[in-house]
Amino acid sequence: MKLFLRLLANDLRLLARHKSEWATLMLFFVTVIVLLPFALGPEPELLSRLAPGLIWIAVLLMSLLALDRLFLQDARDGTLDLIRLSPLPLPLLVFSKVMAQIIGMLAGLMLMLPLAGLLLGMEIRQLCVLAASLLLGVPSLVLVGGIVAAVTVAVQRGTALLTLLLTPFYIPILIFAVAATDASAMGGSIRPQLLLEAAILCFLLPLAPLVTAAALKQSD
Amino acid sequence: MGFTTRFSNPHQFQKLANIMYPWIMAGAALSFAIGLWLALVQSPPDYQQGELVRIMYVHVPAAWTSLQLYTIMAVASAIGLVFRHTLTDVFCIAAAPVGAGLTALCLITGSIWGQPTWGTWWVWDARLTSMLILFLLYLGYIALRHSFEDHERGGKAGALLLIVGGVNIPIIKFSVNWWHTLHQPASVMKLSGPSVHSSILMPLLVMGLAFNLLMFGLILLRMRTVLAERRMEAIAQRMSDEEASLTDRSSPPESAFS
Repeated sequence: MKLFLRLLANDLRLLARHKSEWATLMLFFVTVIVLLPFALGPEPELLSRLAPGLIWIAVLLMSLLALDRLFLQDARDGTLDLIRLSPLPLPLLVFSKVMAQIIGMLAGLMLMLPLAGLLLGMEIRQLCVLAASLLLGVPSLVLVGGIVAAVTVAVQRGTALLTLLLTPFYIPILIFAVAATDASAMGGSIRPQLLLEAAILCFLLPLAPLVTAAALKQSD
Repeated sequence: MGFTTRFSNPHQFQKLANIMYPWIMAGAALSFAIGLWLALVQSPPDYQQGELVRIMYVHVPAAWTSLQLYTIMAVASAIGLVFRHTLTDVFCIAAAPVGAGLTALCLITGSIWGQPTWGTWWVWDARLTSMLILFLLYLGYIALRHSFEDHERGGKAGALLLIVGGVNIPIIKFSVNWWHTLHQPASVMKLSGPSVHSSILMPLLVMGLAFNLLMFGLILLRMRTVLAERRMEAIAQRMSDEEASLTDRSSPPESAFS
């Protein structure tokens, strides 16, 4: 555990050193949100009704960008080979890397969310539900995305491929995530939807790093 | 030598495939003849949809076989990864376009069927959506395999993708069903007429058999093609290596590995 925390701290420090990449992601997220009213029209009712779905789409697009780079840099400059030589189990290293990415993304999203909500005219309550669904959904996105990123890491120009491969895996996560905000908009209970999201996360949390590590192991 | 390991040798497999292929294709032709006759001539028209219901005899077997094939590919990939069985990868490469074709057939016939009965080419019905996602899974696998030059690496990456996708299929199925009941549109007519009568079930089952035989026949044909292609590649590689070693005597022999 102590070892894992140290690994995680290291990965987080690495992430913090690459501030510009992180800032680009967040800027991308906000840009998508800013563009949407131009595509859909400026009516406040329409925007606030669609807001949770729109924000989720922006998050999905942003996660594609982030996942594309998740292992690519390490694979190119040989870090991955060095990591694999270490006596530590590869799934643990992968898990720490993915967790760092999740923490970075969630922190950024939580910072940007009020702004996005403001731009799309969301109510505070709706925003809180959306934040909860993001907190449970984004880790699942990155965990399952890590698998696909690892599978495609050896492919040249794999971005389009990554998008195609990720779509089937994103759909269940997206369905449950948006269902929570839908339910709250209709005045229903959001508990079952959030629990289902949490169930997906609990399913992915132990398994995804193992598969990701297996995919990285055979990537060269 | 066990039964399964014997046929992991491509040569042994090809011998068996050469014997089996004409029989499977003949069986497919025969069962298509019987099935189509039963479906198009013998079976009664539906009391609500009339002759239109006959699309079902292509639509439903295509849906069955496409799902079945993805499951087989996922299981084959797991076997291939665990036991290092070389032919499972060839099987998956050969099967993926067949599966994608079956899924496309199912979607297209469903669309043609949906236009007169539902009044629209496409609805975001739970089953339609699941089939669409299955189609994407097939396309994703094909695209992934085409982006690898190296067969072994591509094979392993593809196998992992198939296994993860196979685990994901029930989750997709459940979530899409759930999503659909949440957003139940009022206008969609459900096709829950009377329970299936044997005059409909019989041709359906024969057509299912025919689709299965055709599917495996096509896969066998494609597997033989893939194996032949690989052998050609290997021969070309060997020839170019020999040429290089003949012309390039001055350089040290290690250069062949760089």
